[in-house]
Amino acid sequence: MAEPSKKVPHYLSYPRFIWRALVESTDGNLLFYVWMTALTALALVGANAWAHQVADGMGLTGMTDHVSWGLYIANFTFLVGVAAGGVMMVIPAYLYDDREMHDVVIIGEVLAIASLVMAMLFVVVDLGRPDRFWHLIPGLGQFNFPMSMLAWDVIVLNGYLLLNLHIVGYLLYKRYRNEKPDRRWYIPFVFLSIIWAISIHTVTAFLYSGLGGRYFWNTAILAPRFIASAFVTGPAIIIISLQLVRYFTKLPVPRKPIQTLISIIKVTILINLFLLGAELFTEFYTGGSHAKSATYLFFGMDGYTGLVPWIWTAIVLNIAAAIMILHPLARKNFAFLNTACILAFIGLWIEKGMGLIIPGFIPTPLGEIVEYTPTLTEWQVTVGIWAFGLMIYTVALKIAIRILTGESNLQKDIDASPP
Amino acid sequence: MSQNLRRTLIVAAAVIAGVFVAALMTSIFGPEPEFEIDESPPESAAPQIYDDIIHAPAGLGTLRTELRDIHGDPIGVACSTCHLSGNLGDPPAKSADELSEFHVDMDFDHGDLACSSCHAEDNRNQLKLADGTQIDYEDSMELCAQCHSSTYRSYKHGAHGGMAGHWDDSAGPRERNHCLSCHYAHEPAFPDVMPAPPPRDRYFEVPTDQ
Amino acid sequence: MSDVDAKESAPVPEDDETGFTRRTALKALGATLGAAAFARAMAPLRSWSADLSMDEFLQQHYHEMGEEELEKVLRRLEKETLEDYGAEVEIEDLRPQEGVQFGYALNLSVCNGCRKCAEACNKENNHDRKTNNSYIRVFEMEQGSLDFEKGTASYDHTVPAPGKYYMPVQCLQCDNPPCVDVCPVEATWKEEDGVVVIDYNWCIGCRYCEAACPYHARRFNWHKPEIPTSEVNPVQAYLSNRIRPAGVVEKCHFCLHRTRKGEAPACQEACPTGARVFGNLLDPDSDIRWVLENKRVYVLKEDLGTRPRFFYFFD
Repeated sequence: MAEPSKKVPHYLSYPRFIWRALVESTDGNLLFYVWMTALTALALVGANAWAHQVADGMGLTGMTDHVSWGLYIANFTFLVGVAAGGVMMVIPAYLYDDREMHDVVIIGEVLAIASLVMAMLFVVVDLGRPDRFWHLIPGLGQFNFPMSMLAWDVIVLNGYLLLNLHIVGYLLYKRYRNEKPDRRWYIPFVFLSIIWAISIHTVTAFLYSGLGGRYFWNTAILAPRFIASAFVTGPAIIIISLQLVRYFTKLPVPRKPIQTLISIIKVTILINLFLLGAELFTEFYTGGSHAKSATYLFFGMDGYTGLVPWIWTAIVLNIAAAIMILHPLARKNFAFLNTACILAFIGLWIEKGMGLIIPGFIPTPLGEIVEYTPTLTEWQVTVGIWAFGLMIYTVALKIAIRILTGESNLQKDIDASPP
Repeated sequence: MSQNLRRTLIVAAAVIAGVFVAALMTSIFGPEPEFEIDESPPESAAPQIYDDIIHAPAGLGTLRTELRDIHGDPIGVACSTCHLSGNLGDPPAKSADELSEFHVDMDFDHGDLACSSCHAEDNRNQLKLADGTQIDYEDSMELCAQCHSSTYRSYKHGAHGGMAGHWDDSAGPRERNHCLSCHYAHEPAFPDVMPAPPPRDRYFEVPTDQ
Repeated sequence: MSDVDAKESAPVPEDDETGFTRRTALKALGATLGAAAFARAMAPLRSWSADLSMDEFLQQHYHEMGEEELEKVLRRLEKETLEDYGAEVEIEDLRPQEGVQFGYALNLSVCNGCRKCAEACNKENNHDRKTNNSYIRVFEMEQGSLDFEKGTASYDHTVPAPGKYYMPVQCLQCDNPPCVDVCPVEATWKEEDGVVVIDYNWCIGCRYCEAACPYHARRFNWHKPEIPTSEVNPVQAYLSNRIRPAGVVEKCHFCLHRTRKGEAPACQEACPTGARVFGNLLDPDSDIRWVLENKRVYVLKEDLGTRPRFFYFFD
């Protein structure tokens, strides 16, 4: 079998590749079906909640004119970070030529794709008029570029999604055809994606830090904080994913990438805590109107303490995760490591969501304190989107791994059903 | 080869990033849209300029009775109905406290003014200015302005007393209040009022789920 | 390597013939059930999309529409208002006047906090009656402090209260408006006469402008506004007080359906103390110019560089 697939033209092999992807995404063992059915059910609950929200109005959410962004945008912010964090596998793999990381780097890219889809969905469900989504499409609508940071975000998020889809799709397709990928067709995109990963989270931070009327966000340290926390959450999810992949699939997962990721988190989790500390020092030592939101967040204000438990939970989780990840046991004991990763994940989810987006609105620029509690609708939609994202992540990983391990390839497909 | 390629790519990436930053800078620091401030009055000189309409309260210079006319407006009695002959209330009281028989239910809280500070002693249908000039009740704003000159100046420039109608005097008249529309001369402080209801913001209602 | 892989799992028939079909059948059943469940989940959208006409969906940006197209849109909106609210209204498209730049000033010494302005705004601008919405929020402030933290907008007692002063806040029509900068779809912009307006049929409802405004001047339509037919103000304009659809942002527009015809804004007419001064900044004889030149005026949060056109002063 001397490279028989070479003879197959692309117009024949590409449909087979797509078909194979479809088959892989719907085929599996019982566990796979149970998992996917559960996720589908959750996603449908979310879809239903969203449909009600569109039909009845955004009044079904807990948001107000005072706190005009809530759980959705909090999740959006967090997920852009996760997407950016995926690049923490790409950098060692390509910039430092880490061979073993190279073999599993696709997991980081797939994670980026899944989280980007989720992030965009969170923006869509936050829109009061989803039917006018086309106004955002450059060329069709009116695109306020380059002035609006949200317009930038639309571009960078879609760009990053396309970059990752291209890189993953190209490498898998080549592997499917049993060919060596042409470096010219992916290396430039990989390097671009590294810069792009930083940019998506920077732009997302600028979305908030550019608003002069919101003192809590109006800080230059916001973008570095976002990046630092993204480089904790991304690798944390990947560490857990790698173990799941090792457990459930035939893809050989070496230990070294996990060790590399632990080393990365060790640094970034401390940088994140340091930046948070620097921010809090500036807020509380200076005091005045700039510190009002932070005061409300950490200690409550005028008897309103809605976010106090959230943020202290996050602080405790983040510090605990940092101590655990720095402990030598993290390199030896996977259960210990995974606990640390989950703690960091939850801690940062709170810190960047309920602990950053919501307090930016409290008190309002006119000093009013209106608290925010997500409604059931918001939780349903949120869970639904996460379920949908996990479906994408599962399916994409499954396709990728089946092709990477050679369990699926063009030759087998041709043999099974000759053209 | 790959080392070179990588170097090239990094440079290329840096250039792209640079272009983005430059685009952003231009949009932020580029010329801001300035409004041309044209100091000359609008050129399209209107054919007609409307004068202000000042709404003086009805029944000025009369004493209100409890009777009402067929329109429901209070019927007032001219001062001269009682004050024609010289023997009523003469010599005039210096302050409201001295009144024992008539006008006793009048609340007076307007500084240390005597009745004759404003009312002409010899003609109760007229008011009088500080220099003794007698004026009609309708012109009482002139009298008020003697002491409240800065308020009157503000009033003249629309910064006191409110207005309705048109801001553009070529489109229609401005309608103004009279001092006495809001300030009762004997007790001019603006009364305390109950405000209109506060907003019932969305956060006051409990969001209903489906 | 690849050769080995290929051999290992070479053409193994996927189960026997029956197993294969059973699996396919199950998949088809699953897909059908999934699609049905999805349709069921999305069912609430049906009533919503029934209200949404194709014309409305495809409507262009205010700046992109020709005269004829805009005319059609205005008539359609009038028809929709009749259908939804039972009210005969006239919706105009009013453009800025030549040589006019609007400015507004408010005398804090005489404002007594009666909220008549907010009430008038609610009626004039066809606001939702349920929430008693208004573009004006009146704050009861602590004497001797400009700090809003010490103020409240929900006071409900006789005014003026001792030791307090009152500060109505509405859109300041900034010359450097952060809300306009952030809008991703240019649904809000500054007009020639200085009024910051919104195309309610272009806004996507992302509420970024609400986050960007340092003055809490913008409102979102969390539900479809409720207005009794008899209370609908029939004098309307496209960029101002026409009834807003659900899911879009709205804000004070200096009553441009009145002011662009030379009339006073509703809040000024309603003010019983005469605290409000409105006029043309370009007319040297206007009231607003006299106030700016003769009173000590200030603007809210000047340090933010938003350059408001709404001024406050004390006598």
